[in-house]
Formats: sequence, structure tokens, C-alpha cells
Amino acid sequence: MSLIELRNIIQDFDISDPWMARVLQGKERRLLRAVDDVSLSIEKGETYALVGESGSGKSTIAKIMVGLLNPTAGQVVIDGQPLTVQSRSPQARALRRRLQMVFQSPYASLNPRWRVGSLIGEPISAFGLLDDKKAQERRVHELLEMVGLSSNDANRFPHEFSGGQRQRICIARVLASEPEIIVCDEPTSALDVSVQAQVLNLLRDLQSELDLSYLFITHDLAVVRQIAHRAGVLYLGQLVEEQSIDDLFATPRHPYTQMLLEAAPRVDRFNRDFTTDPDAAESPSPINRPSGCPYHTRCDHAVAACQTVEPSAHSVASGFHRCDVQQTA
Amino acid sequence: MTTQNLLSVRNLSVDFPMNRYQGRSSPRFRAVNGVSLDILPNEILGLVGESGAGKSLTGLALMGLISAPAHMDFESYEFNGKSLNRAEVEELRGHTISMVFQDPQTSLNPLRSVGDVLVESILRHVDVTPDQARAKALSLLKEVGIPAAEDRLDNYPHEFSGGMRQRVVIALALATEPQLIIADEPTTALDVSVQAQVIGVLKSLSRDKETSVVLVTHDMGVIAESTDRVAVMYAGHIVEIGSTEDVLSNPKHPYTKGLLSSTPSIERARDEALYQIPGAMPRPGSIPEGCPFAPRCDRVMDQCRAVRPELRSLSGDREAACYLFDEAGEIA
Repeated sequence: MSLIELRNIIQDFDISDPWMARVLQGKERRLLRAVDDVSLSIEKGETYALVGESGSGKSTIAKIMVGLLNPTAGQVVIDGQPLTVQSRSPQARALRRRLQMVFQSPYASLNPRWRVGSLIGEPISAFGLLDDKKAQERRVHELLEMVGLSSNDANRFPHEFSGGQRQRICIARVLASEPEIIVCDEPTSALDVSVQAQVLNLLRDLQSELDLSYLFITHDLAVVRQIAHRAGVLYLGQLVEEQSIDDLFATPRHPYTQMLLEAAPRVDRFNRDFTTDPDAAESPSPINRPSGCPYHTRCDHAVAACQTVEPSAHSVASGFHRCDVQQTA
Repeated sequence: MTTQNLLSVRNLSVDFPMNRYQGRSSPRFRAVNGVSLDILPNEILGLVGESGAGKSLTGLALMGLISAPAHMDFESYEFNGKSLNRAEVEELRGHTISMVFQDPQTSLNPLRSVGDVLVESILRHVDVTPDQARAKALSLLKEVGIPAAEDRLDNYPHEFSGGMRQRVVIALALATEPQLIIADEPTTALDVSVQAQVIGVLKSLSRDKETSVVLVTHDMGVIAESTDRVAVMYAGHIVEIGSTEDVLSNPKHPYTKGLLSSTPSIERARDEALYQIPGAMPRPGSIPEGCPFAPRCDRVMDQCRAVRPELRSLSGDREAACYLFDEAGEIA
């Protein structure tokens, strides 16, 4: 059994005009499908990366997983138990402790008026992990050292730290609740490369030390390669491909994945010949999702059937992809 | 040598007061410190570095876009072989040198159609009638690859997607037929597939329109794929400069090396941890006496801490500011 599972998650957002306009102008209710029937599972000690461009629904999935959003349909299951947002029961609370999130901006996710010690200590007392004040303080110092800061930093304020150090504080705060699953939503995209390397290495070390599972959300394929065991590629809310990291990079199956890999900038490719053809470029708005295969408007391999038939999932060695053309080719 | 350069600046510096309320008595720190650059005609020159390296300020200073309380200074500034003073540098801005900023959303007036903005800019800088200006605006939009440009001319910025908006901003920068475009992180806000296209537009401009581009970015991949030469900046200094392929495939300065090996790559297996440069970029005001990179360098020597190394020529057009290298190659 997987540690955590998303089962057929669907998330619709209501983007209708205001009620009055609908009544007066007879406009229809409009829904935006941000996540379309996504199922995935993460094992203990595994890093699962979700890759996609803006608007693909990757952050929405992160929010659903930690329970910040209640999906329109589908379930989040931990250890076989469904996690529901409304539930205030002690069991639900205990489940949520095991599931924590690191956000993109370490500037916005720390209260500037709290000292680092209180920031990290809060989850410990909120979840009642340690009652004794002294023990709590020791634990905070231990956590600070675990993320590569010093125990003296507990008395300082967030503004005294650089971006990378702040992200370490966020990680220490998350670790304070002793989670098993950490959802990382673009945790390094606001950081410089040398700092990004430090944070990525830290996340890897913590994983092997504490046997953590990560859902790692990013748009950067190079980061995916560095940190993940398995990855799913998201396009307009649909998981179009999922494979183990080595297979995904060696034999990408879906044309969208192939395009992403081709477009990713590389430090060892010089004087690349760029196409400037704008028609192939941009992802359609999720408000007007294309029929059939969502990618057919940009796909080089598209055939007539792609416009009407929703592609089905085709299994490959370590996952699946949703491209009917590649399947038959 | 100077005649063939489009732009040649020596000892460019930008400084800020540490405390803006103290006025002139405040101690100042140098965000850009003695930068010398040559920009050749038709080339794309990359300025790469991390936050606080001074790369954006260098870009702004090249067109005199530095205002109080900041202060800029240079020893000499030559454009097309003509030596200019500070006021004359500012004259270049807008027509001979133009700028593309990171965020296309805030670079365009949301209340005016893109055609309107383009026409205004053309009328101001080029001697044409309004009808000719409109025709020119249309041809600019076509040039940067906006589909159905005729219909798009009267659209407002919010009707364009991010990549299209950045194309409009580039068209706007081209409106005055500049000889140099300074592009500050023009693709950072865009998705990779769109990023590749915007870089493609910039590349074809420098090739077909005889425009040079200074591309400021933090992304080594973008540098590799689009620039002809690259200058690596650290704490206000250029630490290494040379042809892009040369610098990236055979980095000399320890900072360039560190930066490259800490960059994740889609080619690299998961098992190896990324290289970490120890420490962090020095804070403004606490940049060390000698080589600014000395406290983080794994090959630091005594002289590095004492005297700041100057840029020295190595083989070819490569220069590095490091005592480990001279013309003959590596010393130690």
C-alpha cells in the first residue's frame, strides 16, 4: 500500500459572471477544470515530482494534497484512510500533522514579527508533541542544526536571514511537526542557483535521514532530474505521462514531455537554432480546453482523431502515458 | 580597436548611500565596481550572476538610467568611437539604446492599446507621419512574430498572453531602431517553451537587424544557448569574460566553476549531490578588501585576501580576475 494516494481528483473552479449579470443577461454558469481526473501515489521515502507549465494545475494538486482545498471529486488517502478537510476530529488532525508543505516564497511564509525559535516551536506545541518548555527549546535547537543553521539563530527575526536561510527555517518549521510527507511547491525557484543547490542537497539529506516522502512541484526539469525518483507531467490539469526518472529522461513518450525536454535550456548546448514560430508556443487557457487530447493544438504528431478522441492511458515499463499516436507508432 | 566596438566603457561604477536619510555624509557602498566592457556590433553579450552581483545595475548604468540617491561614474564611455560624457550617455537612451524589462505586464500601460503605445514611441523618435508610424508599428509586430498582427494592433495588453506581451515589449524597444538593446531577464517570467521563442526573437534581431543585445540573466542555460560572449559578475565585479562556449565549457575562475557545477542539469544522474559553493554572497557594505570571492573560494591564497585581482587576459579573448591564471595558463 502506498503511503499517500490521490484517487481520481477533479477540481473545478467557478468562474461565472456575478449572479446579477447571470440573471439579467442570461449568462450560463462557467466552470474551469483545473485538475482533471488525476490519480497518483507516493511511496514511503520516495520523491514524486510534478512538472508542468503555468496553468497546468500543479499547485492546485499540492493544495488538495495537504487539505487546503477540498476537491470537487476524488479522494486523498493516507495509509488507506481518506483525508477530509471538514473533519475536525482528532484522527483527521493527527493525519494532517503527517502532511506538511514548503512554499515557494520563504519571504511570505514566515511571520516577520516572530522570532525564529517561536516560528519553529509553534507546530511542536500546536500538535502537543512536547509539553516541557525546556525540551521544546532543545528540539528547536536540534531542528535548526539539522537544517544547517546554528542554535543561536533561534533568537533572531526572519528579516535577518537571506532567502536560502529563510527557506531552511521554513523546512525546520515543517520538520517540527514530524511529518512523513512534505509537499514542496517550487521551493527553490525564488533562489539563486548556488543557494538552490544547498537547499536541494539539504532536502535529499533529510529524506535519507528521516525517510521522508516528497511531492515536489516544479517547472524546472533539471531540478526534477536532480531530486525525484518518479515524475508526472501535467498538462492543462491532466497527467499526460508518468515514469521513473531515468525512463522519463531516456525515453519520454508523450510529445509534450519531449517538447519540454527539448525546450529546457542547457549549459552544454551552444548557439542553438531557435524557432520563433509563435503558433506552437503557448499553452491554451484552461478556460477553453481543447477537445480530445488537450495537447493536439500544439502537437507535431497530431492526427485527426486527436481532436475528438480523449486519449487513454497506455502502460509502459515504469508508468504510463496518454498519447494514442505514440502508442500505435 | 576602439573603432570596431559599438560601445566601450571603462571603470563603470555605481554606488549607493548606506543610509539614505543621512544624505551626503552617509558611507556609500559600491554595487558595481570598476566594470569595463566592450560591446561589439551584432553580438549578444550575456551578463550573468546571482542576486546582488550588480548585473542589472550594470545594464541600467550603460544607458545612464541611474538616479539619486544612487550615483554612477565612469572613466570613459565610447559609443561608435565617439567619447561621451554622462549627459550625452543619457541622450542615447530611448532611441540608440533601448531596454526590455523582466515583467512584460508592468512595462505596458494597461489603459492603452499596444498600437497606440508603439505609434507614440515611433512618432517621438522618428520623423514620420502618423499613418507611416502606424504602418511601421504593424511591421514591428510582424517582425517579432505576433500572429494576425493587423488585428492585434488595437488590442490591449491584457488581451495578450505573457509571451506575446514580451514580444510587444521587444517591438516597442525596436520602434526607434536602436543599435543596442539591453534586456534584463526578459524570459525569467515565462514558461520554457515560450522562453525559447522569445530568445529566438532576440537572436534573429541581432542577426538580421544589426542590433547588439546585452542579455542580463541568472540562467546559465539561457546564456549558453543565446549569447556570443558572456561576462560573469560577482559582488559588483566582472570576474570572468570571454566567448560563451569557451567560458562555459572550460571555466577558469573558481566562481564560474562553482556556479556551473551547482546548476542542475537534465543530463545529470540523481545519485550525485550538487556541488555547493560554501557561504553566501557578501552583503552590501561588507565586501572584502581583496578578491570579493576569497572567503568562499576553495583555492584561496594569501595575496587574494590582500589585493583585489584585476581582469587579466588569458588565451584568446578570455579574461579572468584571478591570481591562479595568467597568459600562460594556470599558475598554481
